[in-house]
Amino acid sequence: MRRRPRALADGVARAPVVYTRDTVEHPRHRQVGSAAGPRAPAGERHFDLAFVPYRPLRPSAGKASGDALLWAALDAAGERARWEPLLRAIQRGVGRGRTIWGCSRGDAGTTWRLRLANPARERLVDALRGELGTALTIAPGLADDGAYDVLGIDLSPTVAAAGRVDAVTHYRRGDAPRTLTVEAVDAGGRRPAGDVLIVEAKREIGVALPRIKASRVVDFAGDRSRLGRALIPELFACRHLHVCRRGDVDALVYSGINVDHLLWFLARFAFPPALVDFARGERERLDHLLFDVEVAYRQSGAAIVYPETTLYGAL
Amino acid sequence: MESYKGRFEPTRFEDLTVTVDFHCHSACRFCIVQEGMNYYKGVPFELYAAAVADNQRAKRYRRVTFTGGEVTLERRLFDYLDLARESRSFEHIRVQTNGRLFADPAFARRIVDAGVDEFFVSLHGHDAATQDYISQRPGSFDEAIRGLENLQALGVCILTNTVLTTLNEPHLAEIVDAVRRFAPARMEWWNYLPMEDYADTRGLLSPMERLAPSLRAALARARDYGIETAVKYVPRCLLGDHGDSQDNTQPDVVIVEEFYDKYPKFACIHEAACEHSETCLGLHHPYITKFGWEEEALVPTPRTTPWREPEYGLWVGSDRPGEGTAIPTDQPRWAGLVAGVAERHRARLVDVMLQRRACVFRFEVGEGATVDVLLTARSDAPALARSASFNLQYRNLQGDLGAPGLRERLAALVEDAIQTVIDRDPGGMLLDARKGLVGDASVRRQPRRAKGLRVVEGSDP
Repeated sequence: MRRRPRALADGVARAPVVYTRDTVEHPRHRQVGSAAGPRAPAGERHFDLAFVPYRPLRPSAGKASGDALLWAALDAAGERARWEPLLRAIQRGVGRGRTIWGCSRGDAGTTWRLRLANPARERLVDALRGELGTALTIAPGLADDGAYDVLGIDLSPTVAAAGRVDAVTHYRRGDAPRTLTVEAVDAGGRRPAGDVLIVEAKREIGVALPRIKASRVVDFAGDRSRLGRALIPELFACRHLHVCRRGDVDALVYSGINVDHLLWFLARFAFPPALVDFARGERERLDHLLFDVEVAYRQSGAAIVYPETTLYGAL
Repeated sequence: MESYKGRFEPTRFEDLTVTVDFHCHSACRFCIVQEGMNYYKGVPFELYAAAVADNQRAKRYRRVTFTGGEVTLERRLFDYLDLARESRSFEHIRVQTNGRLFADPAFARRIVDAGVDEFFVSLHGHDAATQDYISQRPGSFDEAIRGLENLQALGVCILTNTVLTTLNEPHLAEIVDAVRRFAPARMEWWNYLPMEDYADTRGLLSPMERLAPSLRAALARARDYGIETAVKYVPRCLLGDHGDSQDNTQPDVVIVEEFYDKYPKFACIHEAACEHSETCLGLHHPYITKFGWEEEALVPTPRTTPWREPEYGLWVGSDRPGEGTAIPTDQPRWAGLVAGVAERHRARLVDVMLQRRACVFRFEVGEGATVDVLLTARSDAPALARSASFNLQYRNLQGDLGAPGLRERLAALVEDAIQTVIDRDPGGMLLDARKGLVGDASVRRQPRRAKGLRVVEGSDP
């Protein structure tokens, strides 16, 4: 008997089809159990580091949820018990679909980044203070005015030991289109912490390149090959580039890479073997997702070095 | 989202290449399977026989090419040749070879008598000093030249292949001079792809500022002599007025699947701006890492059509012989599967994209709304429907799906396309599932033994 398409939806259609707005489900889809990887909840929102939603690349039935890698990364770092309750509380405090998590590895060890969207200019710091209570003190003394588009909070062993985040990060839309200004904010005031330009990776490379080359930390004019190590070809298959300038480093966020690029990234930048193994083992459960990764770089002698790399995902 | 530059598996669906085994009596310094030779297996005869039987049914390939390693060393080569010849399903039988064994006129005669009518001979140097240094085998250049002389005397078709590295980059035009007297039907120039030495510790990658002028000189020399040329893995914009020589397509290859996993991937910083980005691969990643993006040397040809990041692979030209530069939709056998569907829905079939493992029909409905109908090899994997040869799916909807009636139009078109393919698929149009060896079966467990090799005096130290 011939099968006919039953419905038209985003992604690959399968038969028999149960149509939902964002996914197409199939009863034969392999359900893979995973201790660390929760399944994607129905209707899960998918969005990138700029909080721009995207359609999953595959039907999400039986697949991993966007935070699966976070829990795996926490497991790999041995820090899940420390941070999971707090992350869950933050998730409750600001609501699902508004939080990006990041696992950042660098000279300072592993840190955990949170980016919280604030489209309605709410007082997120105050909301989090209420949610977290004494578990974590956030920017003591800071009067939260809610005047930011994204709130950044970094969690580290130092933060854990002190039970306190001294400063938060405010991301605000810049004067130019698709730019963000970044400030570190605490009770003592606010300090410039960098800026970000977000472009379509290939269509707008002509906009990104001058910005990348106008670096204060890399002499691109002195050696044209350096661009090949700053703008990493293996990750250029991304959808968007975030060109970031910070104090003593520049960084590129490759936003919207697929799971195969992610696997390359994790291996190339020596993320913990347990995390790499998890991602490899769960490849088929992650192949509907897009990922954002960040590579910070600066020049050291004649070479380009990468002092910090970060994996981001939606929480 | 995944660009064709991220995966390299285009095909013209004309040529089938069979990797008989990986032994070799030369040791070229650039060999892309140098390590693989110690551990990849060749294609078992049974697997090859199945591919031949497939071709007898489907008439998919016009040519079968045997390669290695150095295929002329293999004792069973003549078994492979006999089957190809007796199947009568190929118009041409080719061997890809370093040509050394054809220095023996009797051997050259024997292999021609076995049915081989095309010889794709590697020549990487213009003289003995260069070639022998590259091959690390003294006398290899003289053997290859004598082999070419013997083959020419037998009246067969000769093609040459030169891998472009720092070792021969200054002498490319001289290579043309060296082979001119053999009247090659085509000279192919393949830029070196580091498969095992991504960091290029061997120093074989030639920077484009040196390679491109030398290559252009060689292409001009060949043009002067009336020799056709083909260039792979060099950006088109660096070929000057020889841009039409660029041909990045490859035959279907029956080989260890891991081979493709290790193939370098490509990127071009001007991809979205260049008219040729659907056929030009740009630069491979190891090159970019070593020398940079060449953003100033590469000059995009302004596009005449909007760029959209391809997902499925390189667009290839016609599958008709000699019409390789025809428009992408000119894949008559494949386009025929859905002929008439677009017209029934006031739509257009804008692309037919072929890869080893997929055929994609892209339909455009109205202004800018598109949908792809995807054919993959028939299997038990989830699919929207199955025809005799294919699993059928659709994906990559583009356009304002909230526009009145558009979703319904696209659905009707997809339904019609799928039903039409089911009705017309004669069976045997098998796309490549995983034709090569996979997993443990693809690699050697034990150290290689000489068994199965012809003994060539003085070939190995």
